[in-house]
Amino acid sequence: MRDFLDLQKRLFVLLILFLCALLLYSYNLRTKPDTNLFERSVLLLTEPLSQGVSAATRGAIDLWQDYLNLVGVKQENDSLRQELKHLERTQIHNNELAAENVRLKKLLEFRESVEEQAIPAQVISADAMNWFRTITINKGTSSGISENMPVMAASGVVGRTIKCAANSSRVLLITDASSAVAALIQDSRTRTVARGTGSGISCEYAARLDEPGVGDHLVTSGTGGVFPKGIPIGTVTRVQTPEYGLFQTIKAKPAVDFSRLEEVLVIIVKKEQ
Amino acid sequence: MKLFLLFFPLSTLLLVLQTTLWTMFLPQIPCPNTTLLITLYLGFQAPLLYGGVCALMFGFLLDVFSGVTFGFHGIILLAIFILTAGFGRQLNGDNPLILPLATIIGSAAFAFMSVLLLLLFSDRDQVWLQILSSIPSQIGANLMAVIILRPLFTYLGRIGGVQPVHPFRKTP
Repeated sequence: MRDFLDLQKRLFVLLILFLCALLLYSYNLRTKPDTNLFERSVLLLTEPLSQGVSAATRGAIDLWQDYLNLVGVKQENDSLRQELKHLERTQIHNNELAAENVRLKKLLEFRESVEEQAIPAQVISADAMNWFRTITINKGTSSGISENMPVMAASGVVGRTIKCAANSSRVLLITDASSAVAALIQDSRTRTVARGTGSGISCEYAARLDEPGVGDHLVTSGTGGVFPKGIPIGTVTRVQTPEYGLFQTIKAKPAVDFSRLEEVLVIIVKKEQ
Repeated sequence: MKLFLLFFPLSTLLLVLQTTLWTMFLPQIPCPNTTLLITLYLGFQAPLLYGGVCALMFGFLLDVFSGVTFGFHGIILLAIFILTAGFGRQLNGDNPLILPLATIIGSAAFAFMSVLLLLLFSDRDQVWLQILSSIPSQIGANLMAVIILRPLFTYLGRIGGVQPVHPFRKTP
């Protein structure tokens, strides 16, 4: 009888523990994303190990690839020279456009409301579970990074920071199911919300009467409060317009190849007071 | 306490290795959930209350390396620990087939609980299909991992001084 009561007591304590965990999860869901002391400590302690393992492995892979690529280096060199010449021409053209843009902005008395600074960071690890889409980068609060900052690669939007420790941060990728980015289909100017589906992007709340086409570019609209306007998100791959209803179904392919992501830029957005 | 001090660093090390190396070399193959495996092992071996707190801490540790909201994996691993301790200890915990069998059931339970929590609490309405479709491959990865890691768990358990404890008996 005593053993039975003892067991009941322990089960009751476990039940209380379970309810506390449930409350903690529920509370964290409904509050602003923040990194708590436990998370900070674990990230701080494991960051040197993660970075060491990542750097050592990458170094070994690079060494092996350098050796393998040695044979085709000359051919690649020639094609790169050609590409460089082409890029130089493009650069001159872009400089002209930028100068023109500055003049036009002055003309319209356009005021820059957002001041941006980009911090380069390296991807050191991915998510421990298969159904979440997050990565860890090697820069954190000591570099000025905090939660909810946009993260980009050369080809487009990567995601936003969700947890930050001193020297590392976790980034929620735009393909994660809990990610939603205010977006715009560039050609048709259709406003939508780009939501992750795990492997791709699904555009929600795109008005049925708009006519986006396959191959159109999806960019950030700048209205969500996290991402600046005009950064590429992806390309439209499928458009399904129903006969009735308000919205249409649009699927998009991300601009960034997340399987090959090694370096990213964290945009530090300082809004004007 | 000794058990926690042995298994917590092991779990952290396994998580660091699987987040850095696994995704680099085997990106197409599902990563095993080593934290779940440790929780299942403790479900058979650790005292009820102490093991429950350990499972919760392992869940919090997994939350640091995975997911978006802190506390998500804590609830799931605590629930799995309670179920393992409640039902699994009716079986012979020393049988080498018990932990692989628990891994199959535990992996499926982990996925179902994840879906349930995400559907009930957050707005990830598209993730359930992804999770459910990954159950067979996840079970396979976890099964392979438990076969490799079981001797290490047993060794650490022995150092930690645990004996199989029946929940209906008074625990030390």
